Amino acid sequence: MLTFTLRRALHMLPVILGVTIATFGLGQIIPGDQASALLGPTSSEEDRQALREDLGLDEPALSRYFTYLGNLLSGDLGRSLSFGRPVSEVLSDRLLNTLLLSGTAIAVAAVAGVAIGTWAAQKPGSARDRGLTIGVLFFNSVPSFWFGLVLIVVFSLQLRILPATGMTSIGGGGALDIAAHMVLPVITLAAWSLAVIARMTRSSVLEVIGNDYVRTARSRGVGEFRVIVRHVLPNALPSVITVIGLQAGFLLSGAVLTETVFSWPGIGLALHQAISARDIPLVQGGILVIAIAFVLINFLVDVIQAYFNPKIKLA
Amino acid sequence: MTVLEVEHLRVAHRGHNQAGTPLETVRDVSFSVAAGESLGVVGESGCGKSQTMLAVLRMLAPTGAEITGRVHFDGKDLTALTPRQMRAVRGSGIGLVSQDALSALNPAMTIGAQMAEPLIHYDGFSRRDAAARCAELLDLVGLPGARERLRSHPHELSGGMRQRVLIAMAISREPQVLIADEPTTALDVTIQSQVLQLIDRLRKDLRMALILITHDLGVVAGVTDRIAVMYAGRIVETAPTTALFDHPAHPYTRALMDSIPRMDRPRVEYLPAIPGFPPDPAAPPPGCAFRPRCPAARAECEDSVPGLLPLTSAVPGHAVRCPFTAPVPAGADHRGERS
Amino acid sequence: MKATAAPPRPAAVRAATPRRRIRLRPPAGSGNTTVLIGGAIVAVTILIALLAPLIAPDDPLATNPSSIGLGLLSDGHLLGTDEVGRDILSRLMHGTRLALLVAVVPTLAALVIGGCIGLLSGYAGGWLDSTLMRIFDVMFSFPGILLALGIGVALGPGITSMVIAMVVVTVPEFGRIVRGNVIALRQEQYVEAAGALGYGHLRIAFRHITPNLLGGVAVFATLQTGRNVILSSSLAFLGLGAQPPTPDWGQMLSGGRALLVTAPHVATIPGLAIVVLAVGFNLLGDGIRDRLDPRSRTSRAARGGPRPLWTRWSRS
Repeated sequence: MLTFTLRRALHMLPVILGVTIATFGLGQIIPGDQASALLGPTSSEEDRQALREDLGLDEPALSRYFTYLGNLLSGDLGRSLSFGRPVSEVLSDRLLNTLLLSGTAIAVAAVAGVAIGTWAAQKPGSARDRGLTIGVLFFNSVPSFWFGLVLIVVFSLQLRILPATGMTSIGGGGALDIAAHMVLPVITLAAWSLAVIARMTRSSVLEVIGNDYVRTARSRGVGEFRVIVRHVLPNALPSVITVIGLQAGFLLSGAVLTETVFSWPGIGLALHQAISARDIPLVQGGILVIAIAFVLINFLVDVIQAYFNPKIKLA
Repeated sequence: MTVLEVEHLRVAHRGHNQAGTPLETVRDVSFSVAAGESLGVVGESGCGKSQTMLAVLRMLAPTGAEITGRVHFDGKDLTALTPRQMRAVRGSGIGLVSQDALSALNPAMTIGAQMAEPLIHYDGFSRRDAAARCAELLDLVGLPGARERLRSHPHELSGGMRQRVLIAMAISREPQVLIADEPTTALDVTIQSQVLQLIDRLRKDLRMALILITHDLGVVAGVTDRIAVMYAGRIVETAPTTALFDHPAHPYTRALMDSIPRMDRPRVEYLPAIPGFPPDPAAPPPGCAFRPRCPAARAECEDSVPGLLPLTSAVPGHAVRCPFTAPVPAGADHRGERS
Repeated sequence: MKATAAPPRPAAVRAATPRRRIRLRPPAGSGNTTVLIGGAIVAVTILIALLAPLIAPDDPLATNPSSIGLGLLSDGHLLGTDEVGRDILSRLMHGTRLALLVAVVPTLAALVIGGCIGLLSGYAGGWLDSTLMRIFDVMFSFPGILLALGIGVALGPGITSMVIAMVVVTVPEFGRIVRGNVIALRQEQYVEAAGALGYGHLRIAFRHITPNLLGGVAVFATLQTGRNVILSSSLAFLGLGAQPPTPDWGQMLSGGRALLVTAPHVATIPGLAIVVLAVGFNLLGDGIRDRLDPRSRTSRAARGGPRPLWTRWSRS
């Protein structure tokens, strides 16, 4: 198990290196003169020259990449143009908010998705099962930002039962207040992953439920609930966990849209602000952080998988 | 005393063929077993024998299977019970031993955990008592080192050991009826007879009724008191074992017997096989289902399904679903080597 | 289970039961309805895009400060007006052009580029294959929309840079699918036979392998077009892609947020258009898949077996 974990951890290194090459590359594909692109057309030639020297734009790409990598390792992600502060500060202020939102969303999606998928699999072809199929098609075709807007219109503007935007009310800020602000963004963020997880659970449960050992348990009088919890799910979940891990990564990136719709003060909202300001360092930093989180989550999922699979454990 | 009586059982699966007509896998099956008695159910795969037993236990897939008829057990009609009442019958009233012991055991649980599960959760055993009981059961089925075995996972045991574990699990809640569905198919020949002897011994010791399902007439020959032969969802012949082997009446039963290797006849190069294939359950031929493969078929066979009628010239309890059968003199051609 | 399986029967027995008909095609209504509904949605969208200048009731760019945020069914404006008083229906109709463009063009470009890479990678194998797959691995470790967003920002907002970003993000998906299928096809006897006959590599790759890839790739491309409808509108919503005042659905939705309280239809109606077009492409893709491979429908539903390769990746 330990050797597997270490080996799998080593596998992450080239991928993370590739991720840094890609984010570095983002800074290189800016068309035309980067200094004037960064500072805007109204900047003076002196400022541009100063920035060029500052960024080392005169040096060859390879040496600039190593400078970039060195800076990353010392925690320096550059300076945000729109916030006028170090990127690392801007992101670390907001990382917790993004993790709170997407962490809750993936938990909701995982728990509800597994429950709904199992429920549908118990009666394949029934109304509930067809409902799941239609739900998957629906969320497959619905942009999350529109779904979020519709939720705001219905629950905040028409019914007036939930706050629409932000993380806290003015003057508020208790846990309950934050929770109320989280309801709609979490639903928006979780909906699509929930459908995907439910579909995967359904097919995985259907596969397991036909096994002879499930019949054995039933034939000995084990109740249907225990059959599902003790015999079906433990054998069906490993493949579902893979999907949950992938979805966790997609949720992190989906947060860009959801946070924008709900003005949730996370990395996604900062990224949205960086777009209009063409704040390249902030975009690079935000993408880097989320991509690395994505890689780490996939690593964790593989380790969890291995933990449940005795055959890998021995290796 | 009869413990399980099945009357006019039918199983129809809806929507399984393109024409949309129900697909009948069990057609009007009736039988009964008494305490301590054993019944062999014999037929080719697909003849409906396993479906019959799953229907008795009400364990067919929840959607699409329609069951009609009556199943009397222990003074109750099982078809009328609520799901919760039915659950209480499974395991403690009627036990099931599945075929293919590898897939019939949960790979993610230890032997002990799956054996003890219903004991702890439904029979009020403490963990310690349940473990002791499970070890006792493994001793009973002749599995050495019972205590250690409880901590093993299924893949650590051999096929014969797993089959013994399954038998121990099936009798763990002391059922009155034990249904064994092809319990020896996945095993080596030497292990097969050990397992059959074990099941037979347990039936006598525990006074259980036994229903042994198999495609192999040779398996039931030495074990069961009576035999029912099934073909295309119907019982085509039923008789006490000796009578069936002495006077097989239905052409299908005779064909089955001709295809078992025999020691009392000269060696032949090829055993005769039954020509053709069993009918498609979605579109059975009109009249007698065996007609297309029957060497003695007549034009009348197509008119109607023959009834399961007692054979007047034979022993009591011998009935056959063929009006044109000629009784074969005892000891002539069809004596079973083990009867 | 085994009791219900119909065993194969010889011709003689089958002839004796003439009532049963063997159907090779899937039962009516499985793939056909889906294809029809999906195809109709896409066809109508194309028609509107072609005829937009003729059938649109108004100039999509004409602002009118005196009629801002008019409601549904207002006088002269069937779907009302937006935050600067432009006719929403006309903007929706003109927006179909861009919506189709940014959904179809990136798909085709990614199909050609990714297809060639996949063909090369799967056919050549060896170090080239493993290098390319390593690169794809890195690209897969970026959630798609983030990478597209980064590229879009770096290249500057605009339709061209958005299309480039979408192509970069989707090339690896096409590459992997084609590569996987090529590797499977290379094992086929007729491909090995072509090699044994001494045909050149190019001939084998394009004459013997490519035609057999088309079905699966067409299904994946159609589904990807549906995903591209969503992806492009997401990027437009974030401010990449078409710039105001170009009529673009994602842009319209984003602009309408200003009137969310007083006139929620301004933001929600363009979203509905996005949903309908995405459903159209998704139904079309699903329907084609069911028609190409009827088993994928019933057997997957019944057994819950693994999904075909081209449905495995999710929206970026």
